[in-house]
Amino acid sequence: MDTLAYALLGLFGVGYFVLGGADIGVGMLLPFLGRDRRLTLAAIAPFFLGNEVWLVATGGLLTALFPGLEAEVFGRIWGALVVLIAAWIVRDMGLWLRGRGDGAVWRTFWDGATVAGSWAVAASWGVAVGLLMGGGAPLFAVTSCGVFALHGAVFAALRLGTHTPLARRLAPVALVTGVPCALGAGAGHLGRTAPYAAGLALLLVLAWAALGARRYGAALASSGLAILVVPLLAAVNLPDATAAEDAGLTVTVAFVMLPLLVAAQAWVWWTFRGRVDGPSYL
Amino acid sequence: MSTLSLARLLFAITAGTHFLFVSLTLGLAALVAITQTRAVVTGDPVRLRMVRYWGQLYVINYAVGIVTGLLMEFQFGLNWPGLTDHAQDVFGAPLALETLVAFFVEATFLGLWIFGWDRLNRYAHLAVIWVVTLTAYVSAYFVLVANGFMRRPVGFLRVGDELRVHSAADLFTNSAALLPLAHVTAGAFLVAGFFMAGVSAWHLRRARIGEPVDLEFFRRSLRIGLVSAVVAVVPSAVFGGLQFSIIPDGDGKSVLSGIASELMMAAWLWMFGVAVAAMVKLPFTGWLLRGRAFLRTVMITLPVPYAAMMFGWIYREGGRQPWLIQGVLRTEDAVRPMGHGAMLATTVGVSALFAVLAVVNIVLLRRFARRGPDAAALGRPAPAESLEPVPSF
Repeated sequence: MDTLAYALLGLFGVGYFVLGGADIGVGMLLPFLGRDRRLTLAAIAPFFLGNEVWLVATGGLLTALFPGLEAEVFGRIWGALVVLIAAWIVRDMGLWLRGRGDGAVWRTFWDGATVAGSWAVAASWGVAVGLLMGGGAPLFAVTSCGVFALHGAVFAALRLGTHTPLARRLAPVALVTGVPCALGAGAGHLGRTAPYAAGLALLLVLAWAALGARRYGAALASSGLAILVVPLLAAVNLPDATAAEDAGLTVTVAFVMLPLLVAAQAWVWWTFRGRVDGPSYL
Repeated sequence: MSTLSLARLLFAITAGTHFLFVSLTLGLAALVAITQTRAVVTGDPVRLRMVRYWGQLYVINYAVGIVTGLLMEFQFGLNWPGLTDHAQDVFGAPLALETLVAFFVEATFLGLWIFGWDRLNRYAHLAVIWVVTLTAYVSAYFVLVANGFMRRPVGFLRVGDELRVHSAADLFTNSAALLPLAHVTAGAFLVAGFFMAGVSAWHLRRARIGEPVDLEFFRRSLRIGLVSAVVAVVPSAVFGGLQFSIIPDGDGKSVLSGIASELMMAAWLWMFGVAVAAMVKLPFTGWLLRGRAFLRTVMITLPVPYAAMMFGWIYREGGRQPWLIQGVLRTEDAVRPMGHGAMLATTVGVSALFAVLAVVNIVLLRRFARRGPDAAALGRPAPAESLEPVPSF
């Protein structure tokens, strides 16, 4: 039961970082992705609502399957989580509201909310995981901002068909800042941290090379795997926990629902699989 | 204020605000889905425009409402670890099922509905809004299972310090969850019904002073809104009243919850009066549109069901204190022992943020309600945006 429960938690957590990481990264890079903001936002518009529910589901599963773990971990990273949720709210409001007003001031204000909120979400993930790693919180925020931004840039390049140079420049930046910062944040348990930092370095090089060869699929796979350094380092630094005694019901329902959930999401991906061809409702 | 009071205030602000957004979301989703069904079946252009206009107001309200819900979900773990420590198995299951079975599907399909307007065929698009609507009610059900357990704990067994599920069937068919579900559903139809009717009445009154108004559009909308209110008003009272017999008053039934209960019933009486008048007038279209006092009354009734929802919520939740789970877990034993400063800063910050969200929602709903059907951006190819100067690198 423990294995199944961990698998579910991991699956939904990974889903959030790989999918949601892309739209958060696009939000961070909004000022660098061209002057037609509506067009840029159309790259993530159909997805971001369906992406963030992976985290909501992770939270729900954590409450039901590992309540003791939740109580302990939330206590250790309380401040970072409060900032994370506040930033998440600010960012979503920026996305939803910018298109509902007419003035330039209104749009600039909510664009600012999207950008600031997206950076704060990426940074608070870094701080939260850094706290779990044993104190290198600000350092790991550098790593997490780097991988979020790169993933967003690659996704934007794929969906918009432009801005490949931005993504290609970001990969080395994430490499030279992110990898040392990850090692520094996990200095207390270097044996545990180093393999992940090495993996991150390799993936960032791969992403850079793939972008150079204009292999966007490979680049997105690399940046999507690179962003997993955040949840993976969180996972290996979590205290041991066993699943709740009555976890069976939730686990069963979750596995029954899983194909339906993936199918629903796949329908969205399939519907909006092409390049952006015009602005959206946002 | 003590840290406990602050944590309670924070949760009350989060849940109370969220509940007000949800009231409109639940009801309006259903009315939009019904309207879209009729639009697709008949191909009637007026109804198609109604879907876009009321759908946009629904989407605006949903977007602001969803973010208040995010904070609510994570607040259990953040501030109330005692709840998951002691009642982990019982309390966590309905919340997890809510996210997996309901909310995940609802949000995924809502994105498809909003952005896939011209990409899906109309039957698929119609199916999508029905999935969104049904999962919204499933979501309400699971949340009320968790909430109902707090008020009327059933189906559990005490093992040492912990509560364990004894009978999942009892837990998930708790009358303290099912009756409120029916009550809240009726309430949501009152909120959405009077919202639709109130906005329509505002437009119809403008027509009287000679302004150009799409009479057909708002006459039909007024009817849908009033029918929804007429249908829901009696069930809301019946399913509210039935709860008195099964849900015991808390030990600390306060003056506040007593007043809230009186105010809720006063609001209901007002809505009942309007609904009776509407029922008499509904068969006569000419008379329905001519009554100046009636349209004015319908207009000012728009906030009344909101007030009833809020007072009902205060009554129900306030009456439970000092228990978090009635007779099982005290509120003071569940709160996280936080520093006073951190809790104070969070409560003040969240209150300010939520106040901004509530104001923004009201301003936007008002703006887009007033602009009328031709201004709805939902489901129409966006006009090319002129490239205004924006900060860019």
